[in-house]
Amino acid sequence: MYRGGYIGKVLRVNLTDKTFEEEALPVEVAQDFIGGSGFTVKYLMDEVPADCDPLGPENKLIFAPGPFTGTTIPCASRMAINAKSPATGAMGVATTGGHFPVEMKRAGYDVIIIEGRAEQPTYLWIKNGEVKFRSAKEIWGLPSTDTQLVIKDELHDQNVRISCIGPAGEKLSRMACIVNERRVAGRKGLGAVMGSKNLKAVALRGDQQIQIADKEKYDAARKRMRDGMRESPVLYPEFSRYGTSTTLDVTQAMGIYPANNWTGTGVFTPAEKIGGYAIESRGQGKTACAGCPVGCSQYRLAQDAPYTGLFTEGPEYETLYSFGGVVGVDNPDAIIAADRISDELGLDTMSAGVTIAFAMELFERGILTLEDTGGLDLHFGNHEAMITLLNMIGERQGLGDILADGTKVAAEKIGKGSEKYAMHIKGLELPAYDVRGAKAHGLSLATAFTGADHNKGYAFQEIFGIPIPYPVDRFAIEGKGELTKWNQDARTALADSPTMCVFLMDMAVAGFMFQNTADLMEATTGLTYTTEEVHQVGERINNVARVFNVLAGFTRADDDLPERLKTEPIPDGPSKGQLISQADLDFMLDEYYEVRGWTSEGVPTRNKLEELRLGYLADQLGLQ
Amino acid sequence: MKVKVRSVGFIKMLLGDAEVDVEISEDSTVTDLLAKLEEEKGEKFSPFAVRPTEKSAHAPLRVMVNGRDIAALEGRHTVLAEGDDVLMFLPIAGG
Repeated sequence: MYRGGYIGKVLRVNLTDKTFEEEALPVEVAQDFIGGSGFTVKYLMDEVPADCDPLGPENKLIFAPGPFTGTTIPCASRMAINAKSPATGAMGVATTGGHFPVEMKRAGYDVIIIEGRAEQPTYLWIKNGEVKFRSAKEIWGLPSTDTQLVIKDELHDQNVRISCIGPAGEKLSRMACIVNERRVAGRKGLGAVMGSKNLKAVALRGDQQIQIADKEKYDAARKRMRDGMRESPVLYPEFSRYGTSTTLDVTQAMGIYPANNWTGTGVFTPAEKIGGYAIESRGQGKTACAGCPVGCSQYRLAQDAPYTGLFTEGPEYETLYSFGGVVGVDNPDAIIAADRISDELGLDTMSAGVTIAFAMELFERGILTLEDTGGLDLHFGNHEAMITLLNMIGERQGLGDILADGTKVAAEKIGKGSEKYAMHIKGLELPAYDVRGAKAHGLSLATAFTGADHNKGYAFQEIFGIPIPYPVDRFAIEGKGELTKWNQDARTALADSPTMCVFLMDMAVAGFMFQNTADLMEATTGLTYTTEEVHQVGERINNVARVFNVLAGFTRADDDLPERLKTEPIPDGPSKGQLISQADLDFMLDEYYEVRGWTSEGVPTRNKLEELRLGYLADQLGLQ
Repeated sequence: MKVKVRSVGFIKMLLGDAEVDVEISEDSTVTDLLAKLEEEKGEKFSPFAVRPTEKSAHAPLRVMVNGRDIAALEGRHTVLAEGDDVLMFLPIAGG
């Protein structure tokens, strides 16, 4: 049925009944949603009630790589995982790379849907069309690296690839992530969804070959992409040496590196200690995802006591913020330690760090006392306290139990006006860009279907000065609605669905990114798209997600920013004085909803949905 | 007139310091400033002083004047003033 790229198979696993079955991947779904994020959004919309309990048995966990994954197209070992998010209650798409995505295609599937709830701790072993439900009783409680090692030994196969949770997911932390090798589908609490299903891990292995529809077109398109990679002034020279760590030097130089729970942007400027060029001294080689010639993942080794000897893949830029600037820490070894500990516990570094920053501000203000913290001195900058608290969060001990579900829930439990200091949108903590100094980036956080997610509509024009589709002024509010739609649709269609590493989108094929995807899709799968139709795939996916969220109860009021960003200007530095007032936000939202073809309350219209072949969703919304 | 050139990473290495004061004539543009730096720092700086080509999507150098990307101003034709803060670095894009 498929000429290439796709296997054409969906695997459905029921944990309650311990059954599994295969079904065909419909061609219309492939054409309209491409793969990856698109598939997971489509299947979640169609199969999971938007008002279900995210930690209940009705929620489903959906894994999907893309048609490029497992071919020789570079940098395509990526996949999306989706479920209704316990952190936000909205769609919860997270993506990850490494090796598991390719192995999932080799195991023979475009999509894996996991349903129900296992009675006992379980892990899945998927190989050659067979699914085994194995006891995870002995590995329940293990950190993520050891979980993977033990499973490989137990299965007598060191080449198995595994996605698993750590103690944080088992204990249903809404900040729990899913770990594969040393990479993570970090955010939205997907680890808790796995934990709620008593599912410790998914292990798979296979030798399915991926076909290519048109070899000649494929070679030409692939060559053009490889040429773009080679000609980039930064991809191999800088990015393969530093990964995302030097972004810290950039955002600090622009005055948008957030610090001290977003009170100290431009004031606390630690790039000389923890920027990418500074921590190069901790470098111990590098690694790559499957099929990637760039290899941007740096290994780093902590040098100074008490962190000596702790080794991690990372820290990436977001973690250099969440355990760095936002908590007032400028000790690179503490950040390395926190990165590794988070991975082992199975916690999202971003939400964990920002939640610790929240606790620190409360402590500095006297809202939390030494009695509340169990004697921990939670001043900004106290990295030892940060590490202790991180471990407590992962195991839900003491104050860690209150903080384990993120800032929104912690603020509700603590009260005393603490919600003013909770830096989240829809329940997901803010990423590493002080968006008061980058308005479209702020609008994308406010409107992303997953909450404050920097990966759903990254405004690379504002942050990196890339003039595609046009140059922009990061301080202006005009035109940002249109730009945000463009960024959201492009990111979803070009990176998260085929799949492809987004760093190539920004740094290697920026000048022809839509054509690149259209050409590779035709060559690999035989499915054809104009560049407009590729845009439309991104638009379609964002609309499906919006409908789900509307049905889950989200309104315009939830497309918001934390109070601090609307009322307190950036205190110092090159972006001093910037903020996004409520009037600014309303201006940008009005423009955004209009270009999206939604009502002024942010609800997709029947016209727009039918234009996207989603008329059935207009029926579900009860639209005229 | 004098402008302050700030840089990080590779560009900082080429220029010798994170902050360098550069003397240029009145009404100089960013292009003029880059030519002056090429003159002072030599051949190693030349690749960054060139104009963006058709092939590469963006210039090999990212420049901000007083916190604003030159892409949002007049590009390399942006006119500089006494005391301007000019930030330069490689156009990495990740994180």
